[in-house]
Amino acid sequence: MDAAAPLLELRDVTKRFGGLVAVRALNFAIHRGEVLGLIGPNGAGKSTTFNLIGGFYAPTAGEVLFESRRITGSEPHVAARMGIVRTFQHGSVFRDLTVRDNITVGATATVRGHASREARVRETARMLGLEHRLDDPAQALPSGHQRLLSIAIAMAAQPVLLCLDEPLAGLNPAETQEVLDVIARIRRELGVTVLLVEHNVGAVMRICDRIVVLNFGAKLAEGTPVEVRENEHVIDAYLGRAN
Amino acid sequence: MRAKLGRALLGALVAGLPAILFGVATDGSYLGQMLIWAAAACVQAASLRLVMLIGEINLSTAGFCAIGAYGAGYLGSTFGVPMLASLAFGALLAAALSVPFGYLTFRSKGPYFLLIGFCVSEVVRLLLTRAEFLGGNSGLVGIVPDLPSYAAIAAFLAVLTIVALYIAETSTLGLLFRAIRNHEPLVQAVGINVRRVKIACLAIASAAVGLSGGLQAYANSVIAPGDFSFLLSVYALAYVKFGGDGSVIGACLGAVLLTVISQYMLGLGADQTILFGGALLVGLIVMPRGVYGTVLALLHRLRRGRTATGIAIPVARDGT
Repeated sequence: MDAAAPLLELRDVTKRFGGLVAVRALNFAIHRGEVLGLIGPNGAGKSTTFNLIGGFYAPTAGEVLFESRRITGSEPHVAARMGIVRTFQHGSVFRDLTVRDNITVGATATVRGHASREARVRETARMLGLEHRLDDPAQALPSGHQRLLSIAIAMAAQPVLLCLDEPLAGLNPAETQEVLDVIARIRRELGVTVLLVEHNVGAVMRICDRIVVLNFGAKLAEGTPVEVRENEHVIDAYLGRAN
Repeated sequence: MRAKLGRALLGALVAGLPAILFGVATDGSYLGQMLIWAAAACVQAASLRLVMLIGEINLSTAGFCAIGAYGAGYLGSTFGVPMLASLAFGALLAAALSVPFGYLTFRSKGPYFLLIGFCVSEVVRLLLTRAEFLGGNSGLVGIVPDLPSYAAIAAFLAVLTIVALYIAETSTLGLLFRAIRNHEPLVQAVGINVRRVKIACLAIASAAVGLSGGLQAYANSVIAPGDFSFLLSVYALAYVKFGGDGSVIGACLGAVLLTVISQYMLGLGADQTILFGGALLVGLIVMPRGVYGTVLALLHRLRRGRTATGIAIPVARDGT
């Protein structure tokens, strides 16, 4: 495998819903081991892009490549088994199940054998600081822990590319820091590549290696946090001017 | 896992052994017949409830019950195939036909899936009225058990089936059922082929309900398309909601209670449909957790009252 090739690549990807063009000829790449942020105003096409990468939508035109293979239009579970695992907004978990069962579901498809699956569940819970809450029902967890659990479910599936949909929305500063630490640890210790959609621009600037800015379904800018922060178009469309 | 299996077997012994002994004692009598009807109703309720775990109300239950009954009845009456083999064939036929049905219909969910299930049940019934080799409108006759103590055998097979459904529910597959009901896209997102899991759920449920149809066929010795209208599915829903959908025990309790009550109502000449409609209403309005769930909650409150210094443990509202 070509180590220099990007892990995931979008080539001229377009998604139309009837007359609405949600994503227009989008091109960007995610490199192995990086944390890439996807930001932009509401309706910019961030969620659509997420769904296109995870296989929840098939693009109207263009193609998606993962590890240099075309995965355009693959079903979500196929994409997940290849290593693209996503979370959902509002820290979605299986509310009626215990923490242990939540993480077990995450490991079911990708970890074979009862014993290794149990080990995977314990290991994932420890990594996210949930090992003391394994027998609690998910709905009894405070929101910060629920958010960590939603990441734990995804991590149990052994992702190569972890896609986080607004992992910080609605969290207080302490919880935000906790989730940011977890993301940094996942990248550093496990070498998992991370794509995240987030509105907390300050946090995105701190944690991401590179940022892609979307506006009206098209790419407005791409670069390091510093480059993006100083980009005139981005300031006008999204960040606003400090005065 | 082993503890769960132990509990299942203990439960089966506690409920099943008396039922089987009762079957031996009452074989051939009216009470024996009622035992078989109740056993078949238990399996139907447990089958419907299994599909409720993935969040769907499966009104195709009646259709697959008919397929199981006619599959078993046709082999038994026309070709003289031994009863146990015919029953197994009916169950397997129902399971096999449920796979393409599930493949096509699990693109939809909620009210749409419910309506398709209703249609399938009615289509199966109408096709049966047209199938002359199956006796058409007047039905199939001469389905006679070839083993002694049929009531006991039927009770035994029903208990076995319900234990199997319980094991399915508590397995990893059953965990996926409940996860799908909670958040379907999230299950897909971790690499699980949700449609395949749903089809597996439906196939297991259909095998069980197909067997219940066969049990009914051998109990009545005559089956007609009219026995398997969509109302059978609605009755199964009434059993589950009246008894309590939190556990398979509740579903079976509802099935037994309503079967017994409806037999007395039939004696009074009243229409059992009214009874089942009323039971469904009572289940939904007065006892949302059903008879079994309400009894459990009362017992819990009693126990808490006795240990006045103990710490109150809140019960989950939904017993799943």
